[in-house]
Amino acid sequence: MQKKQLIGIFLALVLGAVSFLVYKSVVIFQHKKVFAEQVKRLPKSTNFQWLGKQVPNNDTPTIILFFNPDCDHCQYEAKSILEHQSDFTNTNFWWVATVDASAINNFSKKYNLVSLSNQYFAKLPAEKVVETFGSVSVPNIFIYDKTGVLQKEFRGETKIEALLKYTNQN
Amino acid sequence: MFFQKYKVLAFFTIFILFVEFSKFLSNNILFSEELFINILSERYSNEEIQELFTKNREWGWLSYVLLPIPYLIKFSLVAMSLYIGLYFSNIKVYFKDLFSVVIIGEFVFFFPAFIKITWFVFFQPNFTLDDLESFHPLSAINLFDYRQIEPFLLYPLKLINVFELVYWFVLAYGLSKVINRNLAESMKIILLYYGSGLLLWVIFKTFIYIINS
Repeated sequence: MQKKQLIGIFLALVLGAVSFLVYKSVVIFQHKKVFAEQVKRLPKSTNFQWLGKQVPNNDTPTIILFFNPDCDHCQYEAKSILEHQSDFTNTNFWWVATVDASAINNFSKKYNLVSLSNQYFAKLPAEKVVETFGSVSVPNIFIYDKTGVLQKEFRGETKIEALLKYTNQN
Repeated sequence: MFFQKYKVLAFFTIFILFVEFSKFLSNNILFSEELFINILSERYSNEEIQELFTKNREWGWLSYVLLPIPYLIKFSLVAMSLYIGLYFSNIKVYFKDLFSVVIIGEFVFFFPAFIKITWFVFFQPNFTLDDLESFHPLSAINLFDYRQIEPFLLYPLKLINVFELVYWFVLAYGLSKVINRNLAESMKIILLYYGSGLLLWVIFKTFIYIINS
């Protein structure tokens, strides 16, 4: 094979790879942008399968905690919230997980959150996670003000002062 | 004689010593623990922050030990792109000579690191992490508002800078000496083969960033 042909093949490969990656990047980026815009507003409560009591339609700040009952950082978050429950009287907490309802219920009982009036637990099917929150980790915390506008997103364990700061209660 | 025989190893060792020193200065002068406390304290308790710092002190040495590996990979890939170009151009060359040229070229990037340290030590001693992250001397990113740019564009824009251009010229000059051709011919090889490799790398890295963001 001639060297010129080799150069042609080399350049065609580079160009092909570049075109493919640029195309895929644009498609994925646009897709994610839609979800990123979506998460800026409080998701509809009807998107979730509520376990136990249903969330009321009141004008209060809302903190959504996307969690997994087995995750250490989520357990820490639950303990901290319970300890500081008096600071959050005017905030609703939506605890959302993709695991079985029984695992979510056990978690809510274990950390005594089920007894608190502002704590709500829901299951979100795994296939609906991306369309509701985009890409998430556990714990992933979304803080919305009373009008339902996203104030702050935290990925990972977050201390109470930070949650309070963005719910404007401190 | 000894230096000639182990020229590549000597260049690489000297380069790594410079990088280690630059990293040490940067970690101790710019990216100090005090700088991170303000940011971390928003979401972590003091105990957790101290725990993080303790772990960092315990394992920080590992980052110095492992530092040669990414450079070894980078230099090999750049030298390989040039080697392919020279093979297509029917020019015979030793891979180790290309490797040496690439190492020498990389010294150019100590200048922006040096400028950064000098700037924040002498001209802007009260800086934040945000100031450090947005400081890229003679780079295309300065033409935009750092906070308004889509995050995936930061890396490509940072990469377009005067030092990268100088690096290309140093590579071309080094290559012209190795292959006994003029600068224009060497630059053509650099543009075509190193340029293609770099373009592919930037787009691949951006793609990975978008997937994980």
